[in-house]
Amino acid sequence: MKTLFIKALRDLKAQKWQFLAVSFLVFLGIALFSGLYSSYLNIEATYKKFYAQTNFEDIGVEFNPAPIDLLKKVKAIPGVKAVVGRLTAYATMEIEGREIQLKLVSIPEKNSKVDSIYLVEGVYPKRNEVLILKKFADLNGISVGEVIHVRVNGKTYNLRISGTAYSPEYVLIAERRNILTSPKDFGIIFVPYRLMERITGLKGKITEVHLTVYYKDRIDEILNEVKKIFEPYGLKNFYKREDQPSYKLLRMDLEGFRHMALTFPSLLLFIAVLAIYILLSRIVMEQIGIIAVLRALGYSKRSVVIHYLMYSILIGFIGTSAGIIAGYYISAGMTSAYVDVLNLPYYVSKIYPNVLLSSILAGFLTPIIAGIFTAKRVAEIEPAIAMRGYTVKYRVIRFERYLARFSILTRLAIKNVFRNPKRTLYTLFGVAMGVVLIATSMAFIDSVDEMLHIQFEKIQTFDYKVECSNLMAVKSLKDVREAYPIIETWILIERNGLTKSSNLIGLPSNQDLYNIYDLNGKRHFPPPEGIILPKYIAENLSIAKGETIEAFTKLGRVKLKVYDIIPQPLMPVCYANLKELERLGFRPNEVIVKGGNENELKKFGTVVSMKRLRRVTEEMMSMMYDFFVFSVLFGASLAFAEIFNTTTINILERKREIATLRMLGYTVKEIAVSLFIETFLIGAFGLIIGFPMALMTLQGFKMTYKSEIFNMPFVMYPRTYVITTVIIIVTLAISLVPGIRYIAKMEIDKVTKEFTG
Amino acid sequence: MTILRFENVWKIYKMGKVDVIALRGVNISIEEGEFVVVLGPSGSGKTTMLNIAGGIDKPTKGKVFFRDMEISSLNEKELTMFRRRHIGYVFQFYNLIPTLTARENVQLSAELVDNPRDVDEVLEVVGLKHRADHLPTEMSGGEQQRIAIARALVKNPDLILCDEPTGNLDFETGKKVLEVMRDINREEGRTFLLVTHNAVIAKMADRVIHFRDGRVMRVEENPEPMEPEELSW
Repeated sequence: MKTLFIKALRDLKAQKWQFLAVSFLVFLGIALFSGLYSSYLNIEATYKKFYAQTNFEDIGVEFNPAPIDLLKKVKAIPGVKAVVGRLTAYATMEIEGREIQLKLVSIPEKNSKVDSIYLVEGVYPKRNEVLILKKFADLNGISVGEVIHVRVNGKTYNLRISGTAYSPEYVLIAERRNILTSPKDFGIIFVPYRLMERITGLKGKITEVHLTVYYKDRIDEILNEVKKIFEPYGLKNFYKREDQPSYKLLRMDLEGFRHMALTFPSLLLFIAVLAIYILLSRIVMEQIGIIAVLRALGYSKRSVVIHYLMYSILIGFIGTSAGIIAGYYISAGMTSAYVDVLNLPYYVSKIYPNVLLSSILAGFLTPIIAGIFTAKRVAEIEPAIAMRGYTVKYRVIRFERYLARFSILTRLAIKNVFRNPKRTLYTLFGVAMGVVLIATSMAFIDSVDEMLHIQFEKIQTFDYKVECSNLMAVKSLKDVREAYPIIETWILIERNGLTKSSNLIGLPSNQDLYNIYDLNGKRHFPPPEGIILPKYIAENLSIAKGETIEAFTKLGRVKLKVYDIIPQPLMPVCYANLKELERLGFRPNEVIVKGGNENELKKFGTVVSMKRLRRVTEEMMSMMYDFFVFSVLFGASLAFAEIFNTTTINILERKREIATLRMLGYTVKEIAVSLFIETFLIGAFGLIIGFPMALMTLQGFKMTYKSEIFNMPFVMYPRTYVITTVIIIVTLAISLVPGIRYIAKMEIDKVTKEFTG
Repeated sequence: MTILRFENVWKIYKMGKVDVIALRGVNISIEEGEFVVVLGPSGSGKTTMLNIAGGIDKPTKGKVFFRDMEISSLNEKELTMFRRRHIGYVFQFYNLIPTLTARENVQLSAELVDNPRDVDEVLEVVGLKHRADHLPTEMSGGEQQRIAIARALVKNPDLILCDEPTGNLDFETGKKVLEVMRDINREEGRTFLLVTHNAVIAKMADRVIHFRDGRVMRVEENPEPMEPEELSW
């Protein structure tokens, strides 16, 4: 069998570009799978290690200021392992003219046994010293020993940085009042409790409690006990570890990542199966005579079948081994890039035997599945063919009278489309899959753009949001064109023991600066009564339109009617009519402004600039954006490999016929034009069926790709249709090049005399 | 001793709704060491007969014996083993594997049996040892056919079946190929069954079997076979 192996290697060499193209598909699938999935496992291992090292909380409860002595009561609850009480406050500081949002978080005198601080440099703070989140310090050039000037409630405090640190609570910063934060524009400062008491003026008080427990199965019971202790002071939020905002955001993001790590490579490997099948079945068609000879010589069906499976194994070997090596580097790079945007001191990067094994299995199974289908055909080939020869039967559709006006080569091209329906179908499918890959990837970019468009050009069209209630004073400023009061407050909705926290926005009806739009771009208006609920809350808590729900607010428990439920793009919130909230006892606390000057507005309170918020959001989305750009490139290269493979084989298998045309006197250019017409016709059909397939794939992503902070609208812009079409046509044209070069160089006399089988 | 025997062999092909009768009760026997030519026009059934003799096709009716073994009753796997051990094939279109060199093409066949002949020795027999490392595309038609003969010979087959071996060659080259066959037949005593429509080739045979319409029309003994060098067509 040694010689048969040599034959397999020589065949590979003879059709190296086709084999490389299909091996490339396997390579891409395996590289992406092993790379992305290992990154997912690396990131998971990283934060698990960090959480274990820093005793990440099992329970967290937030409330209005309550005596610190209550911590003893919490500690006394059976099953509680460790507790820490907190005071928190929001503050601002200026760096190079930028106003930076800060959250001050109290820490005990000694590092606590819950949510421990992971000190990176410097020392644990004393008296007027503070710790600062490492990434924030680095991004803003703040170093240890430096004094920062922090403004809290109109007062400025000079705080010396004693060190930089990380905290398990802020691996990703998820703040309810400002869900999307950039690590550069939102900082966490860890302040010793005594100093925090002075800053907040809340002596002997805490506003948060975080704890770890001994028994995870008693967690609900313990949470209820803690809630009971603080409920008299007014609960603001409570959660178990899985609902801790930072943890939850990280998990959601990681889930999306995991989903991506599985779906993209699966799609790829599926396409690889088809491409390999097309390639191998072409080889078998070409080698029917050889197969028959081998059988006539006395080679058994099994050994011939194994011989052809050898191609699959070789493709699997090349694709998988290269894919695993590339996957390792993708994983290391991806893990490092991902962790780079998180607040983590280190990352774990290792090789996972399970991923390795799955990659090898998938990498070999993909071509082998394709090979088995081909092998079935090999087994059916009778040795007698070697004696009597083999002619491929073609279907000739008689529609000459419709084609009369075309040149003979154009007629030939059109007839060729229908000549071998199976081959046309393969090519058609190849093009359609290419369209799906490119258009879907581009639609992700369209969807991010659409999401930002709805949020910043339809929903929030104001320029600034000022934290103040003095509407008239703001309105009187020179450059302010329009200004309206709004209410923005926190809300915690509870249903059957489950809770969801959100923001509640009260909007006046007579304004166009803050509008309610759903994901589909449909406008809604502040309801006459009750609230409009984001769809994700309604789904999570099983709330239906028209129901009355119970919620915690700063005014205590309130009952609210659900007027409507809508899916929202970015940062979903609950909406109500300003008048309705005023009736319940809320007072306007913010002013939205069109025009105006930020520095002047700052005199009234904290200012949120929409321009800056959009920039921050775009920064946050940039990693996702990069991923999608990568997907487009990847989709395009995949489409190229797929289409290249199908098209070149289409030409090569007709070399005798083409040689005959050349013998008759047709030029290479004339034949090339004919081939392009044929390929283009199939390509056009491929585009026609490819776009609906891409839209269907997009719908599939829509079902799975959403989180609590964003909801992709999933749209396909006209530019995507145009660019995809151009890429496909160019790819088709380039795919013809090797075939045409072959035609130009072919030894016509030899080809026309070759035995066909 | 009889090496091959056909007893009332029929072969009927179904072509859609039509039955095409390729062989109509063929009775023939081939003796060990004979050089037999089967002569007949296209469609006379001679290639079908050859396929059945080599175990790559099965008769619809009748029996075929290779020595004492009834090959018409063998299953697929047994037929493969039969071909592997006893039969050598030479095709009209040579059917060499284009990606393998001459030596490798012969090796391909040698690897199938336990005690093959030495590949280089067989190449020497066909006079092409010096071309051993060339690919089929680098050889003339005659050379390719001689490599095909070497490929058949290397297995030490009892019976060599040739289907129009000179059909694709010019007169001079064809004669050279026939010379090689005749030499092997004489010097090694191997049995040749050669199918052709070229009546001239029949003159070099020990016996000529005339085929027409799927029947054996007559069998001629050739007391003084001509040398291939003396043939002309």
